[in-house]
Amino acid sequence: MASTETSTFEDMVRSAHGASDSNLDTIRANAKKLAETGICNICILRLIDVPHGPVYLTQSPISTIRSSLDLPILSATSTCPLCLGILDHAHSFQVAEGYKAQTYDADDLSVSIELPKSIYVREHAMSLFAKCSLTAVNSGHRYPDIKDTAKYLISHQLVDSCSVQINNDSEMRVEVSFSHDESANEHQFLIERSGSSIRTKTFRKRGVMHTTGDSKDAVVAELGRCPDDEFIARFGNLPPAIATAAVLDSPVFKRSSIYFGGRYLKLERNISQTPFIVENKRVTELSVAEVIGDPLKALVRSDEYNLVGSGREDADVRMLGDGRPFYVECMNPRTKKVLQMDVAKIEQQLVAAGSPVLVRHLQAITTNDTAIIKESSDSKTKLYCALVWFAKPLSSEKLDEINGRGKQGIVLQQKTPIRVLHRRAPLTRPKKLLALEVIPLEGCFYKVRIESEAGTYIKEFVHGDIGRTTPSLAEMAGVAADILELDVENVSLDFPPTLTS
Amino acid sequence: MSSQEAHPERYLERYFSQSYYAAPIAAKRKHTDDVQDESEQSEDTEPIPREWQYVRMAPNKLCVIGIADEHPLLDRLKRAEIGQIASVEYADNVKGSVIKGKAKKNSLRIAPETKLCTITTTTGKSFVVRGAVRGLLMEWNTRLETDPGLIQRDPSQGFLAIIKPPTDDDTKILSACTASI
Repeated sequence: MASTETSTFEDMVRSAHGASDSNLDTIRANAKKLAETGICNICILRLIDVPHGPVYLTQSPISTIRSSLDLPILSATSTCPLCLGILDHAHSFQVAEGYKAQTYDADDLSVSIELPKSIYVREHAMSLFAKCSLTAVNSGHRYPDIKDTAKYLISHQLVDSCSVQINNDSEMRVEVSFSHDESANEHQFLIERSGSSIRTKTFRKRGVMHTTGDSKDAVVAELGRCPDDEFIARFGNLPPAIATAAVLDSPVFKRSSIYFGGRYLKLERNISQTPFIVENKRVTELSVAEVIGDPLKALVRSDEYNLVGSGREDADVRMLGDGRPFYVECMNPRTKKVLQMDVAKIEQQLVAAGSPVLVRHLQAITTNDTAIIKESSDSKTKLYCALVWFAKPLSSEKLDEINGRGKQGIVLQQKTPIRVLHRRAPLTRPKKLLALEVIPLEGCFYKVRIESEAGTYIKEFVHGDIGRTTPSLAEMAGVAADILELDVENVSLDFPPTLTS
Repeated sequence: MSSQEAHPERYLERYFSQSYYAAPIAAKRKHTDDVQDESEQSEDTEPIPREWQYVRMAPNKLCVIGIADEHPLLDRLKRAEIGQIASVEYADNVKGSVIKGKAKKNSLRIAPETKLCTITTTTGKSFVVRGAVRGLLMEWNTRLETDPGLIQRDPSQGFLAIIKPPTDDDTKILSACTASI
């Protein structure tokens, strides 16, 4: 048994290095010297320039390799001073288990690894050792480094146990990071050395001290600038022994968002578009975002959601007609392969429950489509119907005069309404009314139909905002006017695509 | 119906809650040119009419400052004596103030006693209008430069200024004001 595995090792080394027998002896000699430094099996494999392959993946062939090279067995509890235990297979299993538990339905993913800064310092020390003490076999060829190897091990385990493929452009990202307190300041001498290119800043934020400037890139750059003899003098020519192993931080799984588009209707008043909470109290009981977002979030199992409408209406304004276009972004969804049938169910359930908020044409949309909805909120005209009160009933001449003007279209100059002036810039905005029609109802009450440019404040047009919107309906009528109820009857936009049934 | 006609401005009560401000009498005395003894003061039979301004606060706490019905300028009985408004001259620092952007940096700081403008009538009387609340100046009514009579025709549209208080606390905002007169 041992001999076949040894020959596998030799075959592998041969194929990697195009090795002749003399090469093999050099490699064995190198491996012996490396083993004496106390590094782990995988680090030995790396430093004798064995390319990533099956030999890295499980434990047993390697310990057999050890015995075939007459190397002492490593004690189970010692930590590799080079990779700090990062290349231990246990981490790959942990990441894969963590990923499986989330049950993402992704077909591919990419893995990114973040290592403690001390790894780079120790790798540099090892490379100096290799330069002087080992005989080069394949000069000019860089042996596999710790980060790439960790990525290889973890990626392989994910592919194996989670039926995914590796794709560096994937929308699914697995972010793995390791930390190691014991060696946290090993890079300090690089900052302190004279002529260091590292500039750090320390500041206090919320009572805690933070230091920036000593990023991994800065440390690696400085390692390149530090002369070898100075490095050996200040750090040593070998990575020193270490007591604790590096810790795998909780892996972070991130996936790009999934978007759903549709048109929403608001059939009752006192419903805000997004949750309206002031001083921990809800001002409106319901919000459109929650009525539509909650079932979508449950369907795709996302962390959060966000509703963006093509414009907004006040909480006390209804949204009728074919509804207002909107999209909902669901962040970090576990399920992206949703059937239109299941999406349509949400629409039906709202109708069946008698919900005051309904959706039409709800469907999954692409990221690019969201731009259409965002852009349209500034460009599309809207149709309104208002219940208006005048201080005095209007004479029929006055009514005709207003309606006549209304047919021709009116340009308003609207100063930022007082009710939003606390949060919007003070500006005078010209806004077009494309149509205006005043219809008597009873006494002082009239129905007013308005078609206006996007961004027109209708309420202010009716009462005039103490003269800051001009002309106003009150001004045209010559009496005070107030708006009692407002409905949006139509938001014109050909999106999302109409779905039949 | 008739009460609506009599008070067409009642609808404003839906949008603003109204308080009143008048400059303290001692301050007013400082600006009169007359020098009066303490003894003469006690002989006054007619109290000096307070120059009442309204402070209309919106739900977002922005305050609209204007001339109240009880101000001599709007007192119908005093019309002949006071006359019509000839001009409204805003203070230089008000006219020169820059109110830009959402954050409204560099807006003019106003205190209740800050002079916003001087109103002069055809009979030569003049009245000073003050800030009434503490805050940043959001807007002054440029219409009054060309149409000063607006104040007497429509005191709502003829407002003087809009001020944004630094706090949401009504009591603090209206500390120099009174709820009713």
